Amino acid sequence: MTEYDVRAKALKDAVISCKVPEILKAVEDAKADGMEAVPIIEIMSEAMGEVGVLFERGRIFLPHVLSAAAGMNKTMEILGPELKANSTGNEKSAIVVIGTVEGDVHDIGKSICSTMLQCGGFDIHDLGRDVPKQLFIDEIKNGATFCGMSALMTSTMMVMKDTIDIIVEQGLRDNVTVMVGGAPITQVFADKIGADIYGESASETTEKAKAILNS
Amino acid sequence: MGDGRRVRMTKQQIIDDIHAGMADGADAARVPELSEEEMERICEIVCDKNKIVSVEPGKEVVLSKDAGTTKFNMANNGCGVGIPSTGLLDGQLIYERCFAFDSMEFAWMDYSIKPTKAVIDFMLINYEQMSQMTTMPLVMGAMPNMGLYFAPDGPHANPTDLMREFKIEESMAASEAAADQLTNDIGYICERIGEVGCEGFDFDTTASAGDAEFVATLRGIENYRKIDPEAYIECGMSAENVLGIHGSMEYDGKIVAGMYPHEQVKLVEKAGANIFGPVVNTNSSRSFAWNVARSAVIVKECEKVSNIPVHVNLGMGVGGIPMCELPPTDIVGRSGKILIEIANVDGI
Amino acid sequence: MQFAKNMKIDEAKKYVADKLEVDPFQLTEENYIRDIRDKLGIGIITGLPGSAMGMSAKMNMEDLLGIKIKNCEHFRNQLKR
Repeated sequence: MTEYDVRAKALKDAVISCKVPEILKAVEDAKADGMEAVPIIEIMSEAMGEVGVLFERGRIFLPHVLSAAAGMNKTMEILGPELKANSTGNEKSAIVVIGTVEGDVHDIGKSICSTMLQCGGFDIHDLGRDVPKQLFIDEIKNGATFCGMSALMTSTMMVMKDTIDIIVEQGLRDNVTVMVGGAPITQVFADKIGADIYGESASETTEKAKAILNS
Repeated sequence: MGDGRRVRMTKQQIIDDIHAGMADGADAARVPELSEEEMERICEIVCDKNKIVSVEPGKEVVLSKDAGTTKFNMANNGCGVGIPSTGLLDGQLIYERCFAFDSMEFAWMDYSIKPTKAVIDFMLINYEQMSQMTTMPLVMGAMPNMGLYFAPDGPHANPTDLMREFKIEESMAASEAAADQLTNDIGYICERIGEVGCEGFDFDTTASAGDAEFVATLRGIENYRKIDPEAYIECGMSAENVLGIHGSMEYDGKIVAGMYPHEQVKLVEKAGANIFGPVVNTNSSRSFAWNVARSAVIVKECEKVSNIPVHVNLGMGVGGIPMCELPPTDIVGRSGKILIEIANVDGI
Repeated sequence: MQFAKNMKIDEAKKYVADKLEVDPFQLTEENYIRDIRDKLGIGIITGLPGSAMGMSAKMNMEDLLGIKIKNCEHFRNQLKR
């Protein structure tokens, strides 16, 4: 293994440890060895993907994921000036409006997805549960380019279609990527109602959203 | 399919799905895989040409019930049949004498611990009179539903909201405080129901708000067992693994986050329950064959290690049953038969 | 018996069958077991005026199975004679 590989592994292991002090130490060590900001962030982002997989498999839990994300955020603060200096202006971020649809009060899955999207670099506007359709529309008009809807009941999943219909009626469809999820939701249903993304898990939703953002 | 759609599959596709679902379940729960013979038997049952599929005489198991008779009166977003005039006692006797249920539950229509506490006197007076007319074991029941103790419904800050602000310690503290309150409320209800000779309590969909709720309920069961050594206590889960919203909550020295049914049942036994209800969640994108094989491998290990009877949750979205309001009759029969024959469950 | 003594299904069936003096297989022979239940006063599923049901059936069950049923105990404690 080269010195670069050793340092990269240390960074990755630190992120997967989900411990902020370890993450920051690994970053300091990498910088001291002359590693630049961009590769540090890239290695750590890849490790965050693995954190997501471990979470989905139930090997680590939400507080661990948040701790890893907190470490990433602090790293961004430390490396901020160097990243800004090297910036090409092509880094992307996006506003995500997310909520459980009207009539449905289940929100654990939606909250987990919201957290994972936040860890994925999105700016989250979480509207909570039992969200009136109009609130999603208002957020889209105010700049949200991703709209995430969750439903846990077969009776409330149709509200997703109603919301998409309103988005189309108001001429907003081209401005927003619609994501749907929840226990009764399937890819077949997502295709039927015209959603762009169906995520079986919070990690999958986040990866698909990132892929669209960066395309 | 897991969403209730009817599809055509070849026998080979069914066999492949059984293998895949079984392997997925064994990997997720870290339990032994089913044998080839067991998977062939699952395939035989799935491919049975009859609409109604059942067990052989002598293999019947007993039934326990959640949500009481609330489904008669309710029409909650498609859940329930909306017969508004069904009386409380009538409902119990219908289950006992028309549906031949082996045991039943009396539950408040707002089926959670927190609202049940508010109407406990109503529950007690009705239970006392019902219990003189019913012959089957009759317990009371509710979901712990710790989500009601968080804002906006309750006094404690919502842990997931706090976590998004990276207030992890505050989030854990909120979970712990809500758990203490839930345990206290369980204690209050269990003390009160003793006043009318209530046979016991069913804690339904336990751990819906994650690991802190599971621990709160286990503590509640433990306390109930102490004040009433003879009580009939059931504990049914809400999901196949315990969500780690807190991440570090322990019971009996073990972190409960991430536990699967074969681990959950040991804690439920330790707390003092008589019957455990494991859950395996249906994947609505997968076939019935995939889902039921997955359920069988996970529940089988739970039943094997359990010293108390295991009544597998079999209903909308669990136990291999599709996630739809009208579970197809042919699927329900097959699920039951597979879980009885392969997973050796003591009840449903 | 699952509730009262944590019995698994086969053990519970055998226990009850022994108390009823039937074979476990016969527990689900509908008409046969109906007659046994009526004779022993432990409740039948159909409406038969005069046949034990509810509290009376449960009290007979207590004696037969050797268990105490809480709401029966509660009922007895309320009697003043």
